[in-house]
Amino acid sequence: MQGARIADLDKGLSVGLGFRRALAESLFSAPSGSIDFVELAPENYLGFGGPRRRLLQKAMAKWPVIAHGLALSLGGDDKLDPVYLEELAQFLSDLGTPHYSDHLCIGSAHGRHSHELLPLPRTMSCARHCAERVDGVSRALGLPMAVEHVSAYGSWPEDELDEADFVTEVVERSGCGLLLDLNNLYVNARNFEFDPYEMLNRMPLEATLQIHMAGHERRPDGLRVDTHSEAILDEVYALLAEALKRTGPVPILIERDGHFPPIEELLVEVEQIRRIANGVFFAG
Amino acid sequence: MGFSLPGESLVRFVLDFDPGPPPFPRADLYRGFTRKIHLDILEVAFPRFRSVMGSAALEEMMDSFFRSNGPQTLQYPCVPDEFLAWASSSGCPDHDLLNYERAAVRAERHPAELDHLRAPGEGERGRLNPTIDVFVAERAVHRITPETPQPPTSDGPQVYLCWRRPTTDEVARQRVGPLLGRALGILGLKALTREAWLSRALDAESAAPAGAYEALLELHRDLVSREGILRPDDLD
Repeated sequence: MQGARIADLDKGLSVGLGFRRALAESLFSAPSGSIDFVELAPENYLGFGGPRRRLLQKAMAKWPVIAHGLALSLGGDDKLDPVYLEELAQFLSDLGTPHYSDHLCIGSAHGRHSHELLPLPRTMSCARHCAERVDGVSRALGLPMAVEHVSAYGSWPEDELDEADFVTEVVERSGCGLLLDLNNLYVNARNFEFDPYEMLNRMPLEATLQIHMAGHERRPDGLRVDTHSEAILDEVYALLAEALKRTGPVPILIERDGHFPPIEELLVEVEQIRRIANGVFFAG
Repeated sequence: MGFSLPGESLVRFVLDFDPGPPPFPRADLYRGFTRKIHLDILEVAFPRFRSVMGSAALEEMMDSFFRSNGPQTLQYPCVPDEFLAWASSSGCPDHDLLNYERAAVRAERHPAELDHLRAPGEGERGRLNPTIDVFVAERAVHRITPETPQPPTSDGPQVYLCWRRPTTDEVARQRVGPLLGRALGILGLKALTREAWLSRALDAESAAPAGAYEALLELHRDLVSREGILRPDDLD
């Protein structure tokens, strides 16, 4: 049942929202068909009973659910706990997610977890390391993996590759998919002063399994911080129009993690994305 | 502690108490983010502790937790559980208050499926609700407030129970004295009818005080009415 509904996502344009507990009630009461799917982080539900499980079951009954992880530390070297991976695999199977994604970052080292998406040194050896780890996770979970490039506020002196080359290296070596986060791309373009379109066009867009859209904060010193707490910028919508020409119709998700507006405002963003996608796929 | 990958030095930088020089410019931003998200989750998890001890004390404890190689859970919502375990094992004098606050979350999140369960009827056997969380405190932590940070010692040891009720997910609490707490332990091990439990509980006490029978009976009625005791046939 769930698998069949998930499969529908691949047949056409689908736009979803990040499933957050602060948004849940208004999302459940939004008009039917407002969104096509939701996305959630397994770390927030795995192993929990009671109200969290009930909320998850309610979401699963209403929408297809895609899982997007936060904690695998794909650039780290800590051995992944086989018991956790086994539990995660079962959770993802129950969820019926078509793929699993996590971030190209490091979050943990020597058993300690920062619970932050820390940027990696973009070196060839790091890309190889990530590719091997992604491949291992994909095998353990029995699911296609997609990697998300993260927003960053500083860069390593060891960097050898730019964002697009690093992501391409990981994707091509591991054969995994890409989770294209256009807000991250835009934030990095502003923070590191590069042309987002030039970078976008060198990303491995044909491997895209999903797109993320979000807003961010601009600090007084000009630094852009990927907070997911503001409306999506017009510049990021424009990047979407460009990206869709090469990715084709993949699930597009709006992430909102703070300053939650009325649900109607988020649904306006959903409709804006539908208009852009329809313009790309059906214009003329 | 040696770090083999360059990226690992950033993890150390954001978590260590004395991190040394940043591995790259603006790395201190990540350190700030990391500290903030952990302090946020601890403040939300332990509001009474924070109001009694203050945010600065909680942050100081967080630093000690980090120095002790925490956090090690990859599930962010479980950080407060790991913090509590660390506080208990490291002799933090107020870990009983942290435990008191966290018991409700443990009961709420317990993975047991309860919706098909119901309380025992008259003459039926009953067992403790599988989500029930029992802990003993040497002092009356439920009395701790910013105005009364140290409850009167005359209250003596307390046994706290916390459980999730089927269907509604309501979290119920109960505080009992040591004798009633010991008696309830019997129902954690074996399903018994009320009368059998009363008999065993009183037999186990060499010198049960006057009124013990009535107190046990009242407690049983109360726990059954609030589904702290459930039918074993459904549980097994």
